[in-house]
Amino acid sequence: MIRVEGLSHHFGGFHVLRDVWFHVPRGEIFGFIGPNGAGKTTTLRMMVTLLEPDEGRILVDGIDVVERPADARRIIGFMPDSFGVYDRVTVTEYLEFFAAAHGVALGARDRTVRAVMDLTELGQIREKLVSDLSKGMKQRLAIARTLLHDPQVLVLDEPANGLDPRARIEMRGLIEELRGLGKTIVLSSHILTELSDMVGAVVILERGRVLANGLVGEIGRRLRPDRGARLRLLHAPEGCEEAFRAVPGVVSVARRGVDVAVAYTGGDDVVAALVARGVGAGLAITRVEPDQDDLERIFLEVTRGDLQ
Amino acid sequence: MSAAPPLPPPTVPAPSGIAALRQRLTEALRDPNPILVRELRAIFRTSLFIRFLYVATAFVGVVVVAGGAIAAAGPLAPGDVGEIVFQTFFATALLVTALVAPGYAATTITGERESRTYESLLLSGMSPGRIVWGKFVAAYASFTLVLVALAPVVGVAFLFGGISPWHVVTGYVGLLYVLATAIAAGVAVSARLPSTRVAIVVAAPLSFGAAIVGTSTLAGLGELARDVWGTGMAGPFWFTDAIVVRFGEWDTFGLLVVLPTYLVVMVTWFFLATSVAAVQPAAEDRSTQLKVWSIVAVAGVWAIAAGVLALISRPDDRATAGLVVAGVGMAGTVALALLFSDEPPLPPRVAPAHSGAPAHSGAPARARPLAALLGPGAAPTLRFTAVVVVALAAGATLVPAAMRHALDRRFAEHWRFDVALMTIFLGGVASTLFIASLAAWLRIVLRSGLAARVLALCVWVVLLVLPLLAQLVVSPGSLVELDESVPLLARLSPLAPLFVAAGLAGKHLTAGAAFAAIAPLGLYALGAAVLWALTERRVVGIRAEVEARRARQAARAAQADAARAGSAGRGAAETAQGEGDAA
Repeated sequence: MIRVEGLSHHFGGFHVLRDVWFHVPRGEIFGFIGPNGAGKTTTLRMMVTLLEPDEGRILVDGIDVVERPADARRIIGFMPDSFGVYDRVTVTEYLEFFAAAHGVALGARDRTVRAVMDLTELGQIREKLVSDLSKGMKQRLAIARTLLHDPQVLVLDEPANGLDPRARIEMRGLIEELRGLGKTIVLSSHILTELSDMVGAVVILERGRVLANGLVGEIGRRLRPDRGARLRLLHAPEGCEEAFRAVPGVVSVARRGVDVAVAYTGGDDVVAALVARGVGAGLAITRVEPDQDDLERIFLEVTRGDLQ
Repeated sequence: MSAAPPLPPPTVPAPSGIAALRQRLTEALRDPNPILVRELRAIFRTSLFIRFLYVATAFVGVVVVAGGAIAAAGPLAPGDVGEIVFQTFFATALLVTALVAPGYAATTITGERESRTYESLLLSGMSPGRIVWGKFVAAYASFTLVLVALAPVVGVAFLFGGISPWHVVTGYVGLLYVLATAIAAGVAVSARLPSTRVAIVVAAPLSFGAAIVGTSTLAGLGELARDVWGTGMAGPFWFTDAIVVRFGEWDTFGLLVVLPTYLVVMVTWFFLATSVAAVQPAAEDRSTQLKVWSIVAVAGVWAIAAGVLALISRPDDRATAGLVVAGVGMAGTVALALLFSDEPPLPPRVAPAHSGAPAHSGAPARARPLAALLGPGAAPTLRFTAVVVVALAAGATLVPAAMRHALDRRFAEHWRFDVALMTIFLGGVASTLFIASLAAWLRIVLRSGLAARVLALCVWVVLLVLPLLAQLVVSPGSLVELDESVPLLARLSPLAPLFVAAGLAGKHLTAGAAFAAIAPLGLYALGAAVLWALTERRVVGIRAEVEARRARQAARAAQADAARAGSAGRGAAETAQGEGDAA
């Protein structure tokens, strides 16, 4: 859906992006992560036609965003990390304004605004002044604005920034609902645990370079071929780890109290074999925790924590 | 039996001319510019605007009543008091307009930037032209309301007499003209500057200064009109009386209705066009709007030159006025040369939507050859600048000559003034093209439009003054009678043609001596040619570099695609093999 090819950019003498390549599959929630100053926002701003790259190109559904910005804007909805809203208008007037700006025909405008308000659950506050809305509701309103022209791609820069836990959960629900509608969503966030639950693929940027790109699980396996699992036993007799060591694929076993940590190569079949062997050896296994390919671990392993 | 091909849908011819205009007007009324609607809603929901209405009305009311009371206390006739009240009202309203309107308009686009709604607006798909127009009309409409709210105050003048309702209507039209330019100037400042405070600080004093200069000029013209037409009213709003009394006269209509309307439209259009250029993203075409404006402006100069010279009755005066028109026209060519000096080396990469046109086109198919020749990009824009500079210089010199020959057939000194105009044309074009080429070349080398413009302007000022100073140093006193002989060093100044023209008009110089005196300006023509060639060459080099980079990029993208396809193929083969092994 989105192809970023050889993107480079500099501000003055400072190279903010260097030869960035990645690909966002259609209909996915795609995570865009990296430390501060990694070039995330610059890339997103280029994607949505707000900035022209020095080199490289971005194709969104085959449209070069630099050569055909008007066409690109028709299929992209963008919510920046810090955005403003017009204060002295109501929620409905705000959305009607942007619907008109997007060229939604006068006859269809009311219907479009109502549909978007239903989707984003803003109907109950439709007559409220925007200045009276909470931060979470303003964030919701900003997402509603990006949906008015029914874009295929949504680019959301830190959508959960500054929200309380409830608003974050609601925002996550809304994003997943939008994915359900077939939208391709590019999401930048610092809250990796939240992204973990939603994104299928990620790109990790640091100092303007791509450090990792692809499905989260694939990146995890590339980074660490050995996987791990933690088994908790009801009682851990001396020498019980020998039972697990005999399972094919197991690399190492270490016991600490009633917890046994196993490193192995292979898939989930090794975990199943570990459980079967333990039960066969008369061990009472109370919990099995295979290591997750979580974003936080990947992020920490991939990035060096350099500040720009 | 084969089915008949389906009939094409009936085509409705698009309306043209008046019908198209009516359709656009109907659409604009049915579904107005969304920015206009939103801004007006926001303005009328704030108490600040209502408070300003009260304060402005009270201020103007107090000034007018106080002025009227002072005038009425003196020995003046009631009609004269009414006239003073009338003038006080419009002068105060003009002051409020000049002080507040540009500052208010200067917040329109900076306000969007500061409240971080600007990018959403740009991404909404609204064209920069529509955004700027919406802002302008909203500010204009709201400030018009302020002027309308002041209207009852001028009623005080009717208590004394001497003023008709037509005077008030004409005065209001004048105020609305000033308001249009003031608001457009404010929007232009707002589009260029990043912060509201800076925009207000820049816009308010500029417009206040312009109002002072404008009012003084207007009052001076009023004195001239009293002498020529014998109009009764003095002060800056004298034109209301002149229009009311002499509306049927063609010279009054031309000078007080057509000319101001044209000037207001051109100035407002200029400010709005520069605003659109500033709002337009850097990758898109920023110069075409201004180019269209400059073509109309040049045509206007031709018409104004003809009109002004037609108004003069004595042949000698017409000939001298022709030289003045030519001199003013040359100053205009320098402004035009610097206007387009912020053009990037290559035309924007933006192609028209859905056209499938290649990069670097940026124009409809029919206009593409013209766009390549004179459209966006440093080299085509330099060519366009040369065309308009020559056209403007020709308008400012050919038109006076043609008018003189047409109206004063028996004038004995035609040749003298023709040569004078020719020296102004040649010298002016040579030096202006030098500045235009220098600015275009500097823009490419320095990669900054502002730096190029400032440097080119500095060079221009130095070239104007330095030869004269050098001449003074070499030979003090040699500049005393420049109209009689132009010393060697002074001939290097772009002002030399004006001295030569004065010498010719004063019968101090022969044609040969005049051409010899402006010959050193050939150096500017040479410099212009060299810098122009350098600019064209540099642009060709940059284009080749960009295209080579793009080709490399495309090759890498193709490689990446092939690698992706290969890895997908290998993955499928491995899966098939795995399934085979399992079987």
